Amino acid sequence: MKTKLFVMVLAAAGMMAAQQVKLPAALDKLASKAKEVTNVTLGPELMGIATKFMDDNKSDEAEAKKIAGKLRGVYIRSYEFEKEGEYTEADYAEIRDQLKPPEWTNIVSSRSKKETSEIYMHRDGGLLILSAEPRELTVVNIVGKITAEDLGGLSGQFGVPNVVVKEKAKVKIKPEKDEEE
Amino acid sequence: MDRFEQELKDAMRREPAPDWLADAVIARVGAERQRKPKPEWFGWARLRWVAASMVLAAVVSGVRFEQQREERIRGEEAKQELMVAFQVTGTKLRQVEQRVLPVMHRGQE
Repeated sequence: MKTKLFVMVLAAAGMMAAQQVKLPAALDKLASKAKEVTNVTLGPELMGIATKFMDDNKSDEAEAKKIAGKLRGVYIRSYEFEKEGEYTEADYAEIRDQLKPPEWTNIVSSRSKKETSEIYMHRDGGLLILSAEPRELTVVNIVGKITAEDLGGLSGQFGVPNVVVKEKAKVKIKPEKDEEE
Repeated sequence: MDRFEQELKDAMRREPAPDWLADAVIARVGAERQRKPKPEWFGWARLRWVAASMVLAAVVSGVRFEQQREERIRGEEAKQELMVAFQVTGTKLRQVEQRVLPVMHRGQE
């Protein structure tokens, strides 16, 4: 019985580890060029602590707690640059190389001359978002049993207008206003 | 000398102590010395233990309080980080959705 349990725990840990993409060192080097950096590294332990401190009476925290309860880790690297051309496709190519079928499935892919957006789902429930814009590069890796419903929740509940997110992430928005003018 | 004076004189007359008295007194004194002193509830030794216990309890409570404070700070930081992570994820999902939906609609038309 104990052996069975041990094997099951090992298998679960292996599945979770497979969902975690190795973020290349090239990404961290981009931090020195970036105007703003968002770096989130939440492993299983910190996820557990974070959910413990979430308030069920606050709607956004309750929703986040519901989703976070299914996750084993969240890893984000997001860089915003002053000008275009601060990074190349080679900087994130190592990530793409890891997203091979049958483990990973590319569920959404949108490419234009300047922008690339890709969403990959792991067969055991993990998620990877790769968003490459002229002045912004974002990689989101979610480890755990995330469902389509959770994605909808994330997009709806937390997909608040860009400006609000940037304020919370302490990203300056002034240059964007200049650009609009 | 009248009768009253005679009675008073008889009463005040010195008489030698009985032979057994000296031995009884010595035996009693010896027994008192051998008897252990009663424990003093507020004696110095007891007070020292009480003080030491109170200091120990204060130290343990202090350490526990500090651990809980550190855990609370760590938890709040992790929670904030997770909320930012979900917001970044949500925003990116929404952006992808906005890019993909028009293409899908065009395909349906």
